[in-house]
Amino acid sequence: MMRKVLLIVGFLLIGQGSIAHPIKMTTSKLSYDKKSGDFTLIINFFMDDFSAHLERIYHQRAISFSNPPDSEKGMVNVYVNKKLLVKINKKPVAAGLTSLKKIEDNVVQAAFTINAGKGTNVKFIEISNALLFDSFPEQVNILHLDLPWKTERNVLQFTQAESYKAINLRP
Amino acid sequence: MGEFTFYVKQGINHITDINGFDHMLFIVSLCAVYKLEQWRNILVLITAFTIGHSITLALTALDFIHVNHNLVELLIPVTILLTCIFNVLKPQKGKSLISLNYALALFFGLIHGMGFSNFFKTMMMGISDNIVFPLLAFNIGIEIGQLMIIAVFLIVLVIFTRLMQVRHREWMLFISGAGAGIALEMIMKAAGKV
Repeated sequence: MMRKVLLIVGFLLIGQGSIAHPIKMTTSKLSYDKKSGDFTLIINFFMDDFSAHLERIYHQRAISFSNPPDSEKGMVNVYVNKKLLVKINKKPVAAGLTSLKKIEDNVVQAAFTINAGKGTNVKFIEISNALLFDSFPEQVNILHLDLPWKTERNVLQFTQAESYKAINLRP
Repeated sequence: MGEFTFYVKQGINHITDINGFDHMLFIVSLCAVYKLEQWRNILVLITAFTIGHSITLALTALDFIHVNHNLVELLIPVTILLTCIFNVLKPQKGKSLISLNYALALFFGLIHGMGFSNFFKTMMMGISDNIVFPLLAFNIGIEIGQLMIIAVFLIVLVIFTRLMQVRHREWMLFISGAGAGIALEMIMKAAGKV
């Protein structure tokens, strides 16, 4: 009897590999390429949260992210540059969208390039990350910093109460 | 914050989060039958729980198994309810009680590990490189969080059973009754989503 119950429970437990998603979160990674002097910023959004948010603030309908048209890409570019602000050595830098694609069942990934200027001696990075805070007060944004000047990767957590972080890279 | 410290902190926060108290409630219900002088048994019990949840957390996070999270969310309060029922029904002394508790902690730990995995997988969404290191750190955080919960539990146990002279059987019935009631409400909420 017990074995049968365990078998049934085990069978029912099998599901899809995707994330079950009530948690409000974005994950990002900011990395730096010394050769080109470019930063690459990758942001992963839950698709339903992101589309609902964009639809609400831009009064758009049915944003799907599958084969997004240029207008959708433009909207994402404008939104991210408004809500995720990066300053290198105290100067604001703009992020340019390079790709927007669905990477998992309910996850859309936006990739950006940030040009800090070739040969720039990066000493100080400031990041203000308020993505989706307007729609979801409980939203948490995690950002991984993968910088060649640091041996260990840093992870920053942004919440509505703490949406600004500064990293001093001077030794 | 360094990556290791970050994930340890996330593990601690996840299990001690008062808004998601199901894991905390399970640990408290599991420990309710023990007296203060049995603290070593509690540590062994929590180790059994850790082994259980570590196995399924790792298997799920590494995509070796895929689970139905709505069902897991239902089964977690079921583990709490069953633990509370066992607390009341089972014999109060003897080795069989302790062995049953360890088996329950290990088996139910497997279910809770699947619950932890959803939060962990969300944190790793689209950041797929090097998952083992964060997984280890997150698990260590959960373990530290569990020990913090038990420390608080033991302090409250001392206050009630030593200072206020409440009989241990009454203490255990109070904890198990409260745990069962809360678990029942959680089951009813989760059942609608399955």
